[in-house]
Amino acid sequence: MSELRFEEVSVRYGTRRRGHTVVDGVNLTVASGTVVGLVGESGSGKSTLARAAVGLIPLSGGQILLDGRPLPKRTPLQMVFQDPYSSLDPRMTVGASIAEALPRGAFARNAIAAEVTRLLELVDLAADRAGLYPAALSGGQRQRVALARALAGRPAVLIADEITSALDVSIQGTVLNLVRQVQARMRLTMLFISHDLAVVRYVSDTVAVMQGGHIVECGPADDILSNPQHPYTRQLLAAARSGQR
Amino acid sequence: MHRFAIRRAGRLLVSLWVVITAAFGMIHLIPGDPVRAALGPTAPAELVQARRAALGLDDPLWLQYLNYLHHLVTGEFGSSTLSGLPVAQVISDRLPATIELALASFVLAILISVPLGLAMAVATRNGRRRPAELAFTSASAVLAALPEFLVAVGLVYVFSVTLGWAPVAGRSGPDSYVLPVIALAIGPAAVLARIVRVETLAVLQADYIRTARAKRLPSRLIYLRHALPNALTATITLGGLILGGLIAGTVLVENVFAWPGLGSTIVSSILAKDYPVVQGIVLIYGIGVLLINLVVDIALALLDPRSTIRKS
Repeated sequence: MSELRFEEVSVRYGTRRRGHTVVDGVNLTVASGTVVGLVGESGSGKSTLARAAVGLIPLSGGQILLDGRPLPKRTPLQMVFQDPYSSLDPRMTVGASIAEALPRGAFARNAIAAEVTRLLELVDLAADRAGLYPAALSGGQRQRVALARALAGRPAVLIADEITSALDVSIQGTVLNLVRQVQARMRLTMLFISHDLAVVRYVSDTVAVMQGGHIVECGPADDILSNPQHPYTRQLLAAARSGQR
Repeated sequence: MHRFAIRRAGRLLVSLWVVITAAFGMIHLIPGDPVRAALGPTAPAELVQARRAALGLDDPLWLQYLNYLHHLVTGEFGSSTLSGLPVAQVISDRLPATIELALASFVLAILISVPLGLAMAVATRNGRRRPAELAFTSASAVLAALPEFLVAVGLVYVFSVTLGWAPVAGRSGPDSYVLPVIALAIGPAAVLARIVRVETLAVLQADYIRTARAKRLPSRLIYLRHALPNALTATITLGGLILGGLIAGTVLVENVFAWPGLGSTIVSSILAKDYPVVQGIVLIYGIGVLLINLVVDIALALLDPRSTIRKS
């Protein structure tokens, strides 16, 4: 596993004259084999930071380092997206979708099915699901497929972007448990993004709080949650507590 | 899937009945006496009367309708009032030329529109290359709006009369297909290319395309494996409608190029009030459109695992 480091990362949308800075000089380190939870309200720049990391959005400043080196063009990062209903190609079976994400040439033709089965079992799905289309699966099952798909790419770092927020509360728990299990078993380095502090607390070793494109507070999960320094963190914590009541 | 096919075939029979009845009604609603038209204004009244009686035109309308249905079921389309040839023979002589023309134009339209639409979508996605987008949308709008006969006449003027590259009319060799096929294909190709582009643009915004990018697939695979199949559903549906429309287009284009197909025959038969031939050809056109719709529905049901057509 690898360490992911954001150094003074900035992302700007729009033209030079009429633009909007969404991520502004962010420094953040995701240590090898740990989970960093990134929290913040909608529009705080969390998802933009994640997309910049996997190369879907260009940086306007700073750099992203993997084990101290700039990210290669074919980045070894994988991402699980928010909406499990639209993130899988509706015309491709679950098995084909996962198989497509396997590193090319890494598996012989006859070994691919076995690897797809292994990945499906890793996310608690039966091997016979491989022949189904996404439409035949529930939201929770699709998100498991999305996770298996991301793991198929043998990522150095896994980025989970609001992966539970499109799911029913009852299913959120099972998916979170699964993420924790898989992370622990594979010693994954993971950036876990959510607007929900309760969810982040459940899976993260470190918590970073983002507001208006900046990281306003970052530290061990327990410290941040028991003794928040920044007013915005306190506000989020109060919101999470009132939500639980 | 079998139940879908059976249901769909049942609907086809109902539509077929409507087409047959419409073909019958249409002819009998048009004013004018076909026998008088066939025999000429100077023919004696007794002859006209005798011919009308022989053709059953003096029977009540419902009896004519029943006779007509009976003849259709027994494969008897009647004879041309003009030439006396059986209608079935007239149609079987002319149909192949029309089918060749329509199919060649359809294939050409697909071969042009799908790659062009896909390429334009990729080139102009997310507001890129505005001038290219503007050029494409304006040019395709103009080409789509041009009537076939105008395109046909224009092509004849430029490539046959002025440059002498292709025959002016007729169906004599491979080069005689070039202009009619282009004239018929150009409008549908423009419409389809626009549809493919818009559909592909929508698909390129979809999350699963982002997933495909995150899988680090080469662009070729992203576009051909994920974008194109998802963009083609609407294209297949509209492609079927357009192929149906091509049949109407053949009537005009065949007349410009004196193409020995059904289109030129139906026009001359209408002018001569040759009812049995007109009726037979209208029926063939109707059946052609119905068959195309059937093929499109089946193709959609087979190709698109999400399609709800199977349940409808």
